[in-house]
Amino acid sequence: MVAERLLIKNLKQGREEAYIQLVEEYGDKLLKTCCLILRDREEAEDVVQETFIRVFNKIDTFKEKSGLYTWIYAIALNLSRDRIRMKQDMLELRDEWIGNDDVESQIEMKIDRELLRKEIFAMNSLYREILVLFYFEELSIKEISNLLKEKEGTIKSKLFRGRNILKESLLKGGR
Amino acid sequence: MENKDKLGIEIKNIMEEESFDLTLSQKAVNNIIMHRKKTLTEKLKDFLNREIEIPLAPAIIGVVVLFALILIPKDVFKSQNEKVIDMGGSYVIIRGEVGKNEN
Repeated sequence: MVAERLLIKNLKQGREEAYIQLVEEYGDKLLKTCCLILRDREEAEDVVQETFIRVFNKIDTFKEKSGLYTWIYAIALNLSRDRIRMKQDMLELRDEWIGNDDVESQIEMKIDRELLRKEIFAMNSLYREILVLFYFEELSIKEISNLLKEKEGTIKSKLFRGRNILKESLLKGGR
Repeated sequence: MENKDKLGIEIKNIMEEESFDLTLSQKAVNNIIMHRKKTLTEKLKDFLNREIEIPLAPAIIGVVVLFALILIPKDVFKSQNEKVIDMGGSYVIIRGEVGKNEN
């Protein structure tokens, strides 16, 4: 925390080494997350660039109520969502999964990894975003809820449904 | 919790494999750093080092006029040669052209 406060202070003073440190510490991690959500490396890199530029422009207004990475992350996720909306990739939740909530018990079978990989990146971005934050970033439901400014119940619901979409696909052997 | 079950573990593993070698390009890093907030000293330096474009013709004319104002004597356009004669309290000013015999 002390290191983070010092970094924030140096960023507000405009010190070049602080900016370089910020990009080095968080750049790759942000890129990976955005790439997993957007499925497009070039677009993910654009989002990361724009995220850092916004952070630099708004650093003086950062009140330190949340951690620095949380703040940066929230900006990146909003920008990613904007990109997804532009591509009209977001479907209504109800249109995506009409399945049986009881598939939990059926998934003890061997998981076809290649099929699972394919289904993860074919699924609706709404669900994949939650799966990325929960499994890849290992954030809690509460942390995801704060980041996305959505209720915990909504996050749990999306996570549950996202998992069930994958399970259904695995059981059926693909879409 | 869901993240500890078999499916959760596989999802995590797949995502890690997919993103394993992803790094920001140097071009992206340079572009980001270029947009950082600058210190006052840096802003001043940028301002002083800024290239200013001046059109050539007006610049030449300006320099010529400046030299003209500095180098050419003020009375160069006066063609008259003035002579003042003191006649016991009165003054007579005789003006004649430069180079003429003044007898």
